[in-house]
Amino acid sequence: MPSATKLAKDYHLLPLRLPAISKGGGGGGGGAPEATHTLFIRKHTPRIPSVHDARALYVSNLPADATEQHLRTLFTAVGGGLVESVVFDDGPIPPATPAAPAAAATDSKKRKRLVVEVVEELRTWDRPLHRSGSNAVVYFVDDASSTATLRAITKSRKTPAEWPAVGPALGLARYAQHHRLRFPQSAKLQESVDAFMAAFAEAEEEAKRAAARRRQEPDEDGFVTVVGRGRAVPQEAAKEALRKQEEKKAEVKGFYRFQVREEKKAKQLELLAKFEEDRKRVEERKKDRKFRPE
Amino acid sequence: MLPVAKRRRTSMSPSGEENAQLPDGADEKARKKHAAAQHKTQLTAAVVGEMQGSYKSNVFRMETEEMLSEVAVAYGGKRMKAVEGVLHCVKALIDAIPDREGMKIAQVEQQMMKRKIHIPFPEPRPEKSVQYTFAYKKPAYGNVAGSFALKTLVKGKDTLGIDLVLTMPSELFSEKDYLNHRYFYKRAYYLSVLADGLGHSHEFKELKLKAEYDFLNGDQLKPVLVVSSNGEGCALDSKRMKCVVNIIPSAPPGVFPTSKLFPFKNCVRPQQQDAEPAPTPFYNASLAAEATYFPYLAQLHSASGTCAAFADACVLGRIWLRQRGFGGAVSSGGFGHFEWAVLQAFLLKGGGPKGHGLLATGYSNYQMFKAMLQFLAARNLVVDPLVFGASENVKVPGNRTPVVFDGEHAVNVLFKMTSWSYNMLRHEAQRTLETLGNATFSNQFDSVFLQRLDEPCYKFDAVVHFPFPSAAELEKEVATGTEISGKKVQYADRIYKALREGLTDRVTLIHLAYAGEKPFNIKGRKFTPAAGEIVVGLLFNAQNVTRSIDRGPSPEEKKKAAAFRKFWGSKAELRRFPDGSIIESVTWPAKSKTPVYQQIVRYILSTHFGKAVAEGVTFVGDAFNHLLEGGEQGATLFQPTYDAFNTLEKDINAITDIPLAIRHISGAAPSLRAASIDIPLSPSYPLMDPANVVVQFESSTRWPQDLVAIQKTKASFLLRLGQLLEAHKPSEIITRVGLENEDHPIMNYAFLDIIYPQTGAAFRVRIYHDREAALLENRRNNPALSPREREAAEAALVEHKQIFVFGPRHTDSIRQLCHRYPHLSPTIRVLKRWFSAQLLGFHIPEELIELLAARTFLCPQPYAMPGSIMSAFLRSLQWLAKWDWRKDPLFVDFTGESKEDFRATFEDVRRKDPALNHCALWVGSSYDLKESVWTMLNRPAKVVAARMTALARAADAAVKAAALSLEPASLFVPATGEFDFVLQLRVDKKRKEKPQKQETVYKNLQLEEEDASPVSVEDLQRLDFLPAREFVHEISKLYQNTLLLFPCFSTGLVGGVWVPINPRRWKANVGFSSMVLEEKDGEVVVAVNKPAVLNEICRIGGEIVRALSVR
Repeated sequence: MPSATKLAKDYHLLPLRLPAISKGGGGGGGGAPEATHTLFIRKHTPRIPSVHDARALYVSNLPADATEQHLRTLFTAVGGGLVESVVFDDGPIPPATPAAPAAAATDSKKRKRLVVEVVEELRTWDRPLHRSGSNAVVYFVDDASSTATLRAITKSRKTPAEWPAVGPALGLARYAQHHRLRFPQSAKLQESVDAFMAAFAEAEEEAKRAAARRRQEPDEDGFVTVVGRGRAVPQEAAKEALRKQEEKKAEVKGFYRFQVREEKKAKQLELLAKFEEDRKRVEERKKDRKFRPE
Repeated sequence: MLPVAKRRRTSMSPSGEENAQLPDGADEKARKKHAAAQHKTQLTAAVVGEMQGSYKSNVFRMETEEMLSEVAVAYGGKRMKAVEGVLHCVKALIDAIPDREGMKIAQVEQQMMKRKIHIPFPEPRPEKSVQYTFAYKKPAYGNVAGSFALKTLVKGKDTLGIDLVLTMPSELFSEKDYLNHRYFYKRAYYLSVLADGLGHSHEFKELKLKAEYDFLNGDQLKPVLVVSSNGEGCALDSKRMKCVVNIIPSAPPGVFPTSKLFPFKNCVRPQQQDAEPAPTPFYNASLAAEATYFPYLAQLHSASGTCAAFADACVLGRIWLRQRGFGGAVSSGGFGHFEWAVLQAFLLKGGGPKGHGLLATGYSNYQMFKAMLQFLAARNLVVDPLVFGASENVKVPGNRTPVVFDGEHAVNVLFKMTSWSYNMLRHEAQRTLETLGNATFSNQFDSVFLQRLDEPCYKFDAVVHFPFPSAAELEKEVATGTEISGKKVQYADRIYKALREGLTDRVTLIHLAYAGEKPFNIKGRKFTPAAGEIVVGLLFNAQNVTRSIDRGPSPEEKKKAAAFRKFWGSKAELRRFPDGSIIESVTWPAKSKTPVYQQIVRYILSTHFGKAVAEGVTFVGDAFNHLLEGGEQGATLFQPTYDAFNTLEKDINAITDIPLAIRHISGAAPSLRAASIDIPLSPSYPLMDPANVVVQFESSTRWPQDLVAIQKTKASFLLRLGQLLEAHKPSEIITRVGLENEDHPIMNYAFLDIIYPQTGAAFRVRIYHDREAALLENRRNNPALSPREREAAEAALVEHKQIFVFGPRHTDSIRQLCHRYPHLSPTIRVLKRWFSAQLLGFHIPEELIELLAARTFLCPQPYAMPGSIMSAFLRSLQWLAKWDWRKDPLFVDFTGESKEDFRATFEDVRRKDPALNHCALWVGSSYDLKESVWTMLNRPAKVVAARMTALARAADAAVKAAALSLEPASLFVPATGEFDFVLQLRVDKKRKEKPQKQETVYKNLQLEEEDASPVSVEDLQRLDFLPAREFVHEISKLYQNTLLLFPCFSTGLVGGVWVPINPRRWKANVGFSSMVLEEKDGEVVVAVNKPAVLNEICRIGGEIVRALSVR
């Protein structure tokens, strides 16, 4: 382990001891030996600062099986700080409903309302894992505990902390649980779907209303935005029309003399180009010495 | 190319008309320049055009030129000068041998015994009582003949043979010497004197040469003296090339009356006085050929003088023959480069309509080569001999060998050919013509000239081999005094005839091969044929090969019936058939484990050639059939699954009260196209893996316009469909709705499992909505979204296409093909097993493997249509080993029309992505001309594709090395030596295991246990519970930047490779589990923390990981 306490960009190292894994059953070979994992921790300084930054730590290079509970236990053990919440950076891509951007454009209040309305999805994993080397923001209850924790980390650098064995079970049990959660009860699923569809309908309705409002309300400069009402022409139909037009154009091929002449010339050039290409291909194969019979 | 260009240049001077196109007022210089440029364009175009007339294509022509220059022997070079020096010395030594007076046989033998030289008299040896004398006189003429003289030698691994032909003086022979081997006895003595003269000469030893006897082209009437190097420093040998000199005594011209040597004449008088003298065509031709060396050499010379491409065409023919294992020797077919050249020279003079030449002197080498093949393929020379300069009928009744008869010399050029080698030659010619005519074939040139096509396991559907009987037994088996040279040929001929009669139309081709004789010592006692193996190659007729009853003649046709009974012995029986006819017949137990053809071969060999022979028989390739459950059977094994699918279709169609009507139900799973390794519904497996099914509803405008909402709507539909199905057949159908793609909301969200517990059939239904693709495409192309979102849209689009659009099309295509080719289904399954055993199955899409196997059947050239698992599997593997996926796509043409655009698309893709970062393998088919849908998103990656090629090459080499002792199981042993670490996982128990009663942990399916049903509740609950598979998928995703896993789920073995990552500067999104290496100036250098990653993997896997071993 390096001796420096501080790294570039104010990162602090927190070594973690990963206990050895005994082998899972019969068969040759062994399990995994003990290993040391390193957390890279610094104060949370996002590009857009917020009031909560002071009590937050940015934890990088997390183990793949990290959970909120892990970090809670870990930091309590290290510095005694109480963790309020953890935000992982590799959550699912937020579903982008068409209503959302429109709503976002209007004002932040409504956006908040929409976010609140997003229904709880059915989860198929009781313990989602993270991509190797991912990051999280850990919010402590107050500024003091975050600073204290960081200080403790700097001090206790040489003694690795224990990676706690908490959270739902891993291994076979986790996959069995996943298998169970994958097939939810029909009623539950129906409920979830209905809730989503209701929220979706409302969001769409809201978006429509917002659009209507925009049509009526003049903006600061006194202009009214013109927004289409009907459905857009489907792209396929437009393409089809274009194709038909082009077909019509092509109908008079080979009628004029210049057309014939040009066609001939083009053909000749094409032939030549092909010849050149062929030549190149053979040259290339010759380089690979591919012309000697096996 | 050059002479053509020159000719054009003189004939096409720029004319005034061309210049007239220039605009007025342009100055002289510009005009000249323009004219020159235009001229050049026209010139090249003209050359191009001309080439296209006489060659297949420009590429083909250029490839031919390259190959010809590659194989050309430098005649003027230092090497050849040295060889010529040796020739001169040998000639001088021969000239120095003193003449010997005529002596009687007894004296001759005594004399040679003293000199310790063996006289290679042909069998039967001359009797003691013969009155004529043997003498030696200096050769009347001696010179080099054959391809060395014609300059058509070809470089290669084989030794180059240089023929030194000596014309024996005519005083040694009398007119009657053509009879009863007299000429050959005298010739043998002549040769032994030469052997004596050279073998005991000091100069000869100083040149480091040695002399041995051999038979000219395996013809045991004609021994020759082979002079070869005897150790280091001989001028005949160099690093690159080895030469031998064949010293061939030949007959003086005009000694024997040609009229006596016609094929139907008898020249070996029978020993019994009363016997009918039978024609001796082989003897006659062999004797007549003795006087043809120099005349034919002159003829070939004049042909190559008048026809520019003659020599090159000969070289092409020579290479073509060699790649297919043909040679001039009797044992390798009796059709070598010499026969090719002579036939080609004859066809310049005749053979065409109205006696005109079939070939024209103006032909290019390719045209000449192709015309030769067409001649060989189209004309049956057995039925319709080609005769020059003789008006008589040259056919010998009952003879089944081809005839190209030269009346002037009374020689049948093809006299060494056997009926099987002739059939093989025609077969190969036909295959090559098919190859040249197949436009979808991308590398025609390679398979015609460059590829070696003489490996029996690749070439034939089944290979049978057994040892020759010992020399003494051979003697007994084959009557002496008959006229074919060599006992082995005679024995082989008998075997061929018996097999041909016994296997009837079950096979399309029978080929026999055995090793030729090796050169033997001049001081030896007597020539004894070496023991060896006879290798029988069979090509099957897929329709008939499994037939269990052979119908013979009716008992009323007495002669035929008697012959039938005689041939089949106790097996023949009189049977009454359902159509009322009572005929002789033979039946074979069809249900037996040994295939019918094997039973027949064994039976015939044991009845006609003795039990010992039949017991020595080995069948190669049979083991491929035992690799699979269900053996060789094709798509019939999948019929229950097809039936179950039909039931599902009916049941779904019976549902009426859902908001939208169902338009289409299509299968999209390997088990619904006879392509899954395991048979989905068999007694040993009570429940099948859910087979993917796609349901499409009629189109409606009421679908939401949003991707996520569409997925939820689908879930709603599925829930309803499930309830209705359960209500429709309450006791027969169980359904459950499952969720997938939790992290990807725009991908498919829900599926419906429909299970028939009584039959064990299970299906997984997803709903296809046609607007989805367009929405995903818009999202992918939307510049307002983040790259991550667009990537996700791209991934979703690819998955959508694979599951909903191309999955059903692919399933239809493959299922139809499996129906058409009975061996396709087992071939796909064996190939899949190979991929899986070699730990590639996780990365190589199943569809790709299926297309690979389909290609072997749809485009079998240069081989015949595969008729067994062995041939189809090995050829697929060979193709894979040769596939240069950087430069060539795989295109499978189901509909039978070639697609030029496909190649253009491929080249476009490669141009845009020369490093192959987006798509390593480009695989298209008739239903997928634009996208290569199965290999999109870099699946498999370049490194995996390279490993695939390497493994295929290794397997191909192993098969070639093993040859006839091929052990198929050895190809299915994974190579784990190159992995950084190996995991042993708990194998997912799928269906075989009997579930334990206590394990009712998962109660989401509330079921009443039924004793009648073979499927228990636990079975249902465990359906599709595959933790090891899930684990590997998850790990691959979590560590996609760090490592690459190669799992095999049936054995639980997982090979792992670290992605090479150089130590780099630390940053928050470095993308892998990092470990600090060193610190410098406030910068931290990190590398992958491998122990921590492995520890994590084991922790996540828990009891799934049985063992981990790190290299």
